[in-house]
Amino acid sequence: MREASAKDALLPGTLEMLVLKTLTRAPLHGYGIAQYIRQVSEDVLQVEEGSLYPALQRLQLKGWVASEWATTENNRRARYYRLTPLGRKQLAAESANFDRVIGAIARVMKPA
Amino acid sequence: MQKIVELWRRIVFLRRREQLDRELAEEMRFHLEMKVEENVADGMTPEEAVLAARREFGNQTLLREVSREMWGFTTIETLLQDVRYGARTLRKSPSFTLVAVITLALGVGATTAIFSVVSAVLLRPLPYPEADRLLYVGQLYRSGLAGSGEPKFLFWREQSRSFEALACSSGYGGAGGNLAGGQEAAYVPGRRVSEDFFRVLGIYPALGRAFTHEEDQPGGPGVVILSYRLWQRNFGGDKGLIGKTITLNDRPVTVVGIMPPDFRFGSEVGLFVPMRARPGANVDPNAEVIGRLKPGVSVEQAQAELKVIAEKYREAFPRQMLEGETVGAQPYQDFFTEGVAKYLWIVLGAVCFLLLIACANVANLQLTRAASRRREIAVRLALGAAGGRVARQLLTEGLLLALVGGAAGLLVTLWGTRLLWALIPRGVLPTVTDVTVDWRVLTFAFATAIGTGLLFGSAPALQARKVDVNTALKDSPGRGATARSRLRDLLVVSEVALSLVLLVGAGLLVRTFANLLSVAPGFDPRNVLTFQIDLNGGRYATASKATAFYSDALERIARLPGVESAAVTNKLPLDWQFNMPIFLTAQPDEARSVQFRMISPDYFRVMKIDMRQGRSFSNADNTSAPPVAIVNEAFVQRFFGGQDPFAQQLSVGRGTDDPARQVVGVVADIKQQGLDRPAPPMVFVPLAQVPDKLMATVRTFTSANFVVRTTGEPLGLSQAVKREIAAVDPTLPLSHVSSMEEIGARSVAAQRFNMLLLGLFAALGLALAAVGIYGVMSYAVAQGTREIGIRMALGAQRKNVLWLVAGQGMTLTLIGMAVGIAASFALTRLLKSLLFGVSATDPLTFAGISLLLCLVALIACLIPARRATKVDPLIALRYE
Repeated sequence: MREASAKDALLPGTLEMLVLKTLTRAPLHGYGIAQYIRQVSEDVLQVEEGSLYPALQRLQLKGWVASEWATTENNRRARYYRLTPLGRKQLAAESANFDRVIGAIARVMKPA
Repeated sequence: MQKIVELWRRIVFLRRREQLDRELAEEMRFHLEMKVEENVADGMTPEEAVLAARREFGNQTLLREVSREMWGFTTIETLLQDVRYGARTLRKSPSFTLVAVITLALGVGATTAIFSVVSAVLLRPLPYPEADRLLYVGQLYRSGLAGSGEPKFLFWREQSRSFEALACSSGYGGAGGNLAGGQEAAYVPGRRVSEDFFRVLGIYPALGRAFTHEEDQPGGPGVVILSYRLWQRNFGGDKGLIGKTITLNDRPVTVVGIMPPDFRFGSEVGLFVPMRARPGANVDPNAEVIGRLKPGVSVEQAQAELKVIAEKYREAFPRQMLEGETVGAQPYQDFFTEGVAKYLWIVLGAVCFLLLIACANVANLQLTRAASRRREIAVRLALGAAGGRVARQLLTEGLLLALVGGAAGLLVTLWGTRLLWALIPRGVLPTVTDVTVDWRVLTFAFATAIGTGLLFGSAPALQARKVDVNTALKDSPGRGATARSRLRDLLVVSEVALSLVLLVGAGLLVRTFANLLSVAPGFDPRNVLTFQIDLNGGRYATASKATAFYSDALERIARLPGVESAAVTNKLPLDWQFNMPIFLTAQPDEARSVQFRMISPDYFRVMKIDMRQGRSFSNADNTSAPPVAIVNEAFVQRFFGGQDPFAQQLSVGRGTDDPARQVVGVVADIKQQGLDRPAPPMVFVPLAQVPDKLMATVRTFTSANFVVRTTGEPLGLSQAVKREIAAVDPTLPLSHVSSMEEIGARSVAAQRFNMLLLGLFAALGLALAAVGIYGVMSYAVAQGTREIGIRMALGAQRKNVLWLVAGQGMTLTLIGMAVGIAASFALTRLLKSLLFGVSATDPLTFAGISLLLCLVALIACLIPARRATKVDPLIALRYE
């Protein structure tokens, strides 16, 4: 259960932003998204893998991502998610907001 | 816009939800497979890899559920699912469902039935338009509001500006009378009303018109307005009756109006005549004044104005106002409900206790079932159901049960309101014409059902949250024989406490009723026929004519076979009261308000009232003999203060023509206002010696009441008696034919009703509590079979086992009783005004009821305890 608490440490709401960001490179399936986030963050950000799926459903509902079934390189059926134009806009808004919050936190933590 | 698109997507997805669900499952499966491959590549064994992948992925079922919920329609969907599932579970255990539904139906039904009465009396407005503007106006003393005399009413009406109209009405002074014409001569109770009476109430005759100003003047033309019922019954609903003349009390009167069918005023008023109030004539000092406030005028404003008017009246007529007297007003509805409101709330409170007991019982039943469903719940939790989801499902099941119980309860209500309406003593609720199940009652029943559902449904739901999957799945329900849940114990304790309170209340009312029945009324009510004849007509205006009629009629009746003796009085015992001012010759300035009776010589013999001293009346006590009177013991005690009663003289009435009368006898006291009230001082005079003026005054308020002592069943003689009266005067109708025993029963009808009602609640409560204790103990025995087996294998005696089990149940009972006794001490005080001859904390009742409850609980404990002793140690240990 210790792992779970580490994973939960992800700031609320950031999972969706991370997913959107991941998808800017190319369409990906759920497993791919989880893997990518883990690798790029050098294992610091471990998504509880299952929780990715409710998040993906929500993103679809909002219309920020779309999905279609396709085959993977090793010839297996998987659902690929891609960013919609609306999702791109949302990502821009969220990352701007994120930068502002991070900047603010940084200023508090390391005052000049 | 964004929202609409989102909604559209939801709808699209809702239609494809099964496909979506499948896709989600496939997607997750793909994810897990990839993960397994990755783990294997990292060097795990295949088994390890699968487990690790699952662990990292999390609760699949839950995640799928969360994903589905994302689409937002799940709430309704799960609700429907829960309802379907709940219905199936309930169907699967029909005996549980039946017991629960019956229990709930009783609780909800009884509560709603009582509420329907509360609603009809307290919540439903009086049956007049804008009834909230109606005020009762009266003389205000420190003791409260009272009726007013007609001259005062005239003054208020002239002076006040707060009212749109002010009206006065009285049931005395020639209000009703003998109505000839139509099918049969009949005595009809009536009401004298002032001209604006119908305007104040806001209801006018349906046919014809209301009274005019001229008709309400002294000496105005004889007119009458009939009630719809009288018009239908005596005149066959003839529309041509308007403008025609009928005979009322031997005088011709013109019918000017017929009231609408649903018009109600008083209990059985059949006709209305103009009041014709005069400033100089205080015909009925207790007449009823009502006013309709002008729009926008508040009750307080009207009260303030009336106070000022009262002082003006005092200035003008200082001798007509008592010290501290003023004029007050209160909403007309309160005037009727004031007396019963508190009582109704008590009854509603009592029935709520019953409802709570029913709730506790069903909660208990559900807990028992939930316990046997622990495994089912554990399995569902293990398969990934969210704890809240399971709790919600159990709650839904509870609500479903409550609604079914509530629906069944409505049937109980329909039947119960009819029963209640039949049992409620007449005249207690004069404004209520019927008790119906209206929207208020339906809403109440629905809310009660939902409330109870939440109450007893939450118990198992709370417990489901605490189910520990591990222990529940490992099975072995065989915890000790002492294993009961704290919640269930609490429920039993409260059931016992609640039913004890109900039982104590019922016990006190039973004792009250028994005390009433053991009161000696001072006369013998058995085998006495009574009836009334109203001699208000012109033919019997003088005392001598009336007296001649009485002695003729009595002589004929007394000769009838089966009749021992017959007499007449102006007021029967146990039937309200009639006072006159009495003046002792020794203190001529001091008026004493005393019960006054004018009787024929045989009255004491017929009623079997004991002569204590002196002599009774005889036929010799007539106009040519010296005037005499007889008083009762209460009178002697109160007014003669140890002096020789036969040395006293008295006269009756203020400013009447009554002579000074010699007291010639003292009779035993008789009960007048009720068996629970002390016998009032009373003066009797011989009818033959009553002068004209005094007789006219007495007749304004009372009729002639005949009493006939029979050898057999009294009512069997009513036809024969009717014939004899007709032989003397065929135009005189008899009314209020009844036996003296019936009148006695009527005087204790309210106490009888209280006793029956609370007794019924208490009996139901006791039965439910017994079932509750029995259920808990049975369950404990079933759960503890193994422990009992071990104990017996180790040499425990049956006796020990019996007391081990029964002792637990009795401990709970005793705790509940302690709580109940404490609560009863606090609550029975509310009953104080309903009790007679027993204190609200009567130790005998408390002890007796406790003993009764103890016995019932003991039986409820012993049955399962005996079952425990029959446990075969071998079987008990092998089983499981």
